[in-house]
Amino acid sequence: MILCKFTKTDSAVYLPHLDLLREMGRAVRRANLSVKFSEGFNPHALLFFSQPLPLGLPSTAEYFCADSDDDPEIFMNGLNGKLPRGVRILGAVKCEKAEVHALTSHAAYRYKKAAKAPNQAQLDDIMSRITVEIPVKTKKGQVVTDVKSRINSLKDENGETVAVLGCGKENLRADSFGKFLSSEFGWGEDYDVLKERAFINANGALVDVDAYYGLAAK
Amino acid sequence: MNEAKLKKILAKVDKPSRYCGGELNTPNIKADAPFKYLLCFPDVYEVAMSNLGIKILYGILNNRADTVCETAYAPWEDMAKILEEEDLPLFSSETRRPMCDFDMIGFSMQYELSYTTVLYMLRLGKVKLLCKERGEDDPIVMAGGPCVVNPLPLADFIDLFSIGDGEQTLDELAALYNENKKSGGTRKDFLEKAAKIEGVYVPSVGKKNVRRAVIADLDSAYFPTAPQVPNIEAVHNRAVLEIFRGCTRGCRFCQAGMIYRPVRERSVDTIVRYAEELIDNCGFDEISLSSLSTCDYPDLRPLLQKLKPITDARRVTIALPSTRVDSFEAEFVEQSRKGSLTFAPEAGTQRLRDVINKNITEDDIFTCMRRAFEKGYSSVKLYFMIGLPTETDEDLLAIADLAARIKRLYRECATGRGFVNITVSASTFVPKPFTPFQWEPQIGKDEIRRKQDLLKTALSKIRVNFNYHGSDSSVLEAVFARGDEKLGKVILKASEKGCVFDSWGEYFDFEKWQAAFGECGVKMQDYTREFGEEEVLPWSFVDVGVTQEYLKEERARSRQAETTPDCRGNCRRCGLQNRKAAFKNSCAKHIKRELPRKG
Repeated sequence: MILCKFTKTDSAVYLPHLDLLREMGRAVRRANLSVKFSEGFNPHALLFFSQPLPLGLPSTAEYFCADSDDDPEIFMNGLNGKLPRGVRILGAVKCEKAEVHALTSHAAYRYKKAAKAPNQAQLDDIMSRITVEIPVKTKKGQVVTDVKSRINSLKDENGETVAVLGCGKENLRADSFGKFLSSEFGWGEDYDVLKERAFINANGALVDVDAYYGLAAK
Repeated sequence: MNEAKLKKILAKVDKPSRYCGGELNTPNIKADAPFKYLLCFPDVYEVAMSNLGIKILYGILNNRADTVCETAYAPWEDMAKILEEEDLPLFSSETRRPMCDFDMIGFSMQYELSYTTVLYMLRLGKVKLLCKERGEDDPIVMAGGPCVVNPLPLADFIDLFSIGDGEQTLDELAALYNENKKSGGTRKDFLEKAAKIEGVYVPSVGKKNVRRAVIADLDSAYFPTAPQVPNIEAVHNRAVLEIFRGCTRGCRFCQAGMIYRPVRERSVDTIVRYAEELIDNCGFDEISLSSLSTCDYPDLRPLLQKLKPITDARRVTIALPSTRVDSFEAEFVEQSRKGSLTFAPEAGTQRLRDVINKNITEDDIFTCMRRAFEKGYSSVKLYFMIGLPTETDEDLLAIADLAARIKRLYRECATGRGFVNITVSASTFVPKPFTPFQWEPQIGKDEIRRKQDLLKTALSKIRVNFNYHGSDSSVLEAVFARGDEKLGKVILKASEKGCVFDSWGEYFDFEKWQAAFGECGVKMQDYTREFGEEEVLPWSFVDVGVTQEYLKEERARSRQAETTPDCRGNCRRCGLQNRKAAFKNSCAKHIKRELPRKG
């Protein structure tokens, strides 16, 4: 099994999740890499992806696993150059099982809004609140929910807000949280978000996925 | 348009990847190329991206050092609304350049019901709709594709038509444009010179005799083996490889079978090489060996024998579209998936199949079905036409009878468990220019509905699914197919009333069309009636290669239910054999082949 870290930026932010899966499968074929196939009615390449990104949100920390015995370096280099604009493999490493998507518990998002960035005290104020209620998309539509427990940390980094939010079971969508920050600090609609890291909860501590797997991203 | 603005807009629309560009295999867009061409398809991204023709032309133009070609497809209404609200022009996917800033805009016309979408796109692109309104600084609007063999209904809006194979024509037009610009020529100079190129019709220069452009050799013609891979799932999500152009069968209703003559094939080696390149460059899991009648490719077996090991190793399946009932080779390739089989007998009785020259017998159909069922297929789609010349109710009921017998056959020889699923689809016959049926009337709307109901009742009794088109859109298709210049104002009026995406059922609004015809004083019946053989047909100034005499002769034979055999190995002298030296040889080859058999 090979774990790959990749970007989804530029025009690729508009690629829906299923089309991204298909595209990665085609890239494997273009690069003539050997990936195992499912044995079924419609055999498909065994590629395992992490949770879908909201459409329009760029990321430099996406992951997928490929059931392949190739050398990770060769695999990565083969794919790069065979992918659409905005998708690039940053690193690849061998792994035991395709479980990164199940283990990932948090992700870090960087919110950029020049001139109106909150300082650390303002962010700490949010973290000190007992509840943070924001409208969250559910199957029943928008429901105002207390998401406090899904906010792990909020940090000011040189005038940009880095939020570590829950994903997977305790998911908090970056766009929903962005709207909250926007309403708190008067950003309007014009601000940038980037998903830049993903974390695994290892015995209570958040460990960067790259560190957890020993993946060196370029 | 700047990227920040675009980002805001894309956040609001459905399927933003239709507009964002960035497709894999997008060529280098040369910002400084003097000739800027916008290739357009009057339908949504998913449909446009499935069209091979525009991929060929996109490649040819971008391969020229002096030309840059970008693309724009019809935006869906949510996008169109935002563009209008924000007063932004429709733009190219590649560099977001407004449509109105291009030197030339080309539309690919694949079906008549996309005419209003052309106007919709021009309007959104802030390009003047009428040729006569456009001046020196406006883009030149051109159109090509099968619909423009009769260019007249669009002549008010299109400055230049490219009739026939576009490969050479577009290359010549690009060269001419640059040359004209360099020498300080005007728009009028360009159009006048362009009108001299084979296959080009310029309405403002006048209706002279226009010969369809035909490339002599397909094997050496350009083929895009690294086409753009769509961002989102297209209608045809597969690699397309054109193995030959033209068709030798001579079905009398079929326009493509007449206007793409003569047959020009690619060699086995070329096809195999292109297939490998397509897999390397696109990575699709399916490759379609495309043509008008793929199983007529003379070297199909050797081709598949060579191709199959390559595609198997790369986990690619081969699709053979347009498979005729009598040449069922699909078993060779379709070993993995037992999907549904599609066949087009077109008519229910042998008599009517003979009238339309669909050279298929009932035996062919049943032999093929038996083989398919034995292989495990349990789903069959059958395509028919209603309203064909000389059709009676007996012919229609025979369709239901055929379906019933196929059902019985399944019970006898099926290896799979479960029920057979038979779907009958019936489209309405539309007489098309340059076919032996170009003079035939189209049956009226009430008659279409009566026939559909008759078939529907008969098929529901035996529990066979039945699909059919609305009668209104078929009537409109016939009107535009055999239309003349008078229809320009009707199209404009209908477009002003909001008609767009007419081929999409949910958008088609016949009442608006009726109102448009009424207000312009044009009668649909004038175009759906029977045309006299002595009449001067509106499209007769176009010479597609097949002679009117041949078409008349074929029509006469149809009335006698006399069939005309496949012209492979049996040249019928339709007119193409005299057209170019290259065809003389290829057609003569078929004449010679016939001789020993007779002797």
